[in-house]
Amino acid sequence: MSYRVFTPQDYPLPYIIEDTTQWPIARLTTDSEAFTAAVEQAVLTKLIHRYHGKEGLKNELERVLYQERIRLTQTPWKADPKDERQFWNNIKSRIVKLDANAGQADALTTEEDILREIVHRYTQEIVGQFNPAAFKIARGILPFFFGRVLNAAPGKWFKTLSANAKTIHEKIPITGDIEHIRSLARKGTVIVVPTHFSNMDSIMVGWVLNEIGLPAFTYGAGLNLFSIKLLSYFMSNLGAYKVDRRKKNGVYLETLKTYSREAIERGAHSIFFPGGTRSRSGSLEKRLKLGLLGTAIEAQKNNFKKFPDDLAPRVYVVPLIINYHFVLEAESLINDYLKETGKEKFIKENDDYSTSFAMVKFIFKFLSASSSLAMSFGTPMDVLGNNVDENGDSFNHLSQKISVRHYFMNHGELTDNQQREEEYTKMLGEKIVGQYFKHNVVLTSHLVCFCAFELIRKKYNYVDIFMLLRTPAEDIRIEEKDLIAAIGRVKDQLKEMNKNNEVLLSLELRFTDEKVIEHGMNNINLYHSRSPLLRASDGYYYTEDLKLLYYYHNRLDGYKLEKYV
Amino acid sequence: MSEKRTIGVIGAGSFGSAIANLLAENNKVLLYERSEHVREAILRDRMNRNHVMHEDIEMTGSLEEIAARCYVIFPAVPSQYFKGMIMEFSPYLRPDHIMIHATKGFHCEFDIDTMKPEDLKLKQIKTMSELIREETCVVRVGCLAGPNLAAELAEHQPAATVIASRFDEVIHEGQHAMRSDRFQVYGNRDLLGIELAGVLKNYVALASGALSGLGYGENARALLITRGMGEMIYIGKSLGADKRSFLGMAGIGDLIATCSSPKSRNYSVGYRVAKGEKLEDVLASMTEVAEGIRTLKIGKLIVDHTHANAPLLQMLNKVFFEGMDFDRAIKMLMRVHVAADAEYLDI
Repeated sequence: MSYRVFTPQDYPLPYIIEDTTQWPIARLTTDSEAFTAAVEQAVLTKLIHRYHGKEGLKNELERVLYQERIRLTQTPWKADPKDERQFWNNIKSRIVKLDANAGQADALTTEEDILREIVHRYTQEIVGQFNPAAFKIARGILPFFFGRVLNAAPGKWFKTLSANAKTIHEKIPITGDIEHIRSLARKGTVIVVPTHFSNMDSIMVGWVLNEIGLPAFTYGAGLNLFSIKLLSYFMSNLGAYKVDRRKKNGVYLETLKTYSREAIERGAHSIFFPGGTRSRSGSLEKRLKLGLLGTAIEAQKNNFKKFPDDLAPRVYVVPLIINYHFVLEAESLINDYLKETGKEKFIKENDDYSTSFAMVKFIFKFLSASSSLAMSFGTPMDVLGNNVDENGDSFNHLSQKISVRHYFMNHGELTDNQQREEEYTKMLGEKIVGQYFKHNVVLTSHLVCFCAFELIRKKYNYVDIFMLLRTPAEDIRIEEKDLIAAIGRVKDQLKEMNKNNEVLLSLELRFTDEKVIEHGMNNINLYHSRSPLLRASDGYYYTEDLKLLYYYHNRLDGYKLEKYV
Repeated sequence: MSEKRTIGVIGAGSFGSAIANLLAENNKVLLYERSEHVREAILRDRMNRNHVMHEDIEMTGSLEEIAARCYVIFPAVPSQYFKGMIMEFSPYLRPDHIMIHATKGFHCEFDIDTMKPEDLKLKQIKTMSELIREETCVVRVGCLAGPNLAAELAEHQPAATVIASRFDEVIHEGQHAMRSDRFQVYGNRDLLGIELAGVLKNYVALASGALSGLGYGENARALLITRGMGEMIYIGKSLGADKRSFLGMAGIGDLIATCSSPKSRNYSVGYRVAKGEKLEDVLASMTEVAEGIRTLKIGKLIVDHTHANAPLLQMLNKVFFEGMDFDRAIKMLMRVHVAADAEYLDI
């Protein structure tokens, strides 16, 4: 498909809806009361149906209480409201009273009352709002902040003024069919599903969506981030809703899903990180967490139920692949990953960046060190993973025009079927993963780390990756000619795959093999105190941190490139 | 139910006719047959391939009509014609169609006789459900497999089958349409496993026929069936199926039926070749396709590629295509190192 290519000077694109108060997310806030009431009612209906029979519901309430009490004692956070303990103590005493009143028709409290109260509390906790005034401030600050920081290595602020300073859009190329995505956002609800490697992702995604002129998106932000005051102010006013990963009980998850579904049905463009959390291994997500993705499918079905076919608002899914030369949290991520695979060890949800200062320092380091990163939009799809054209109509892989409504029909009727939708969610997940691989932009640093690590793996030939990673780094060295030859071969294969639309390549990959190595190493070594890869004066390549090298190598995992090294 | 639904069946071969008859007990049936001659004969005589055809079965030569009138469709076309049929069908199909196929064979994107295992990509071998997914917009796909000898179904004897699909909805539709006092329908979510069970049992049936042709009795057959099932599990696992699927109706159930019955096509091919007839002559004399011969060739390509443990399959290839004699093959099989009994349950 050919599409209009925007040049760096075109950005930021004009908003597709000029008046911010008319954005879907702003309308959600205006109707906040009706919206949350609808969420609460839908959750109640669903759960009462699911746990029909009094004992079922009571057992579920007891489970929720039990899990919440464990959470309160074992993983308390600063962001938790002060009255948490009081609230759950109250719930507890009321559940106890249920037994005393058992069998009485005129009992004062019923299971449903208690459930309603819990759902209400969860909904109020989750709900986000959009404040156009706060948005205006953020819009003013961010480009300035980005522009400055991106060009300024610490201590060289004035360099921003020099002639060879790159604009942010030269540093961060945006690829994909932007015009198409914009036109779909006018017609329906867009769900952006980005890859997730770093805490920077949500900021980068918010930034890129603003640059391409889309109205603000809503997304679930970790509750722990709300304890950072600066971040909390912006997030809670820019449409983020709160997700508490510690709460894994059925009532909470149902409330969260219903919130997301109801928001989509009301036209709020949304961001889901379908990987769930940041990729620990550094490889592209291959198995997605499907919970929230399913809400997009359910919302689409509900839209069909509410409207005749040509009027039913459509839901579109757009993958977004974010490529960093380096990931600031790489060390802790890969350590988590190795612990996880080593033995099924429980990884505690930690709040890494607990103060505004830590957060700003983090962003600053990221932007000042980053020489370039790539934001690549995938092909827009419907909720079944079919391609959609400019008009929003769906076409399958055989270019047959498809009515999406038909997927939800049985013998000519629209029907609810949870198991069907779960399968559809898996299918959509597979399509998203496919696009992640296809629209992934290979950066020089990925290629260099991939080849270097595979050369080491071949040389030492351990069956067990842990054995290899325990090898003292100083014992490991790679010959230059081997690395150059490997880069050449893998690059050729990548070019072949690029021709077949299996992967994207960054411009720097056109350099000579020697230049590719230099460029990749320079970028990756900008940040880490222990270099994943460096060239010593003797001409050999060494690593100071094999685990980090492994982490960056993993970015090209899954392309079957190993045999070309 | 107020009004009977119309269910589509594609292909008026022996098994297609049997399915049409089973379905006609609960539903109206629209049966597609390409040959006008056959359609007319069925309408005229109400007989087809030894099946008395139910009076509620309508005939059509138009796939478009099937798509327009039926939401649930059962294709029962031999594997080598399946792709042609499904491509012709594709323009008329919609995502609200449900398809449950009854074809026990593989589709190959290459010439079976010249393909080398080292050049093989597993993606080039497809089950019928994969073919439907690739060539149409239908996503709610299932398959039907089990001990269902068409001749016995024609005599209204009691029997059971499995309908497999990732979608419970498809299983329910199939059960609803087929279930009767003399026909039980089990469900299974492992679509791939059930498809593989249906396909792979074909070559074990060939071997079973051969054992009878050689004059061997039931001990040998029991050995064959048990180890044959083990082999099917090894191959199935190597392709991603669940081993439990091979222990159900479509696995061991179908094995017992096809390996014990001279009525089975694959059995009779094995029997006649063991009696000394030439394979080409046997195949030329048959009116219906014996999938077992294709399965033997494709199965060998698969196990040479995945290195699944399948000595029976390897030996049968030697006997049927490389001129090894049966006695030698059996001797060699009896010398295969045996592990513990039922070890295939532990893989």
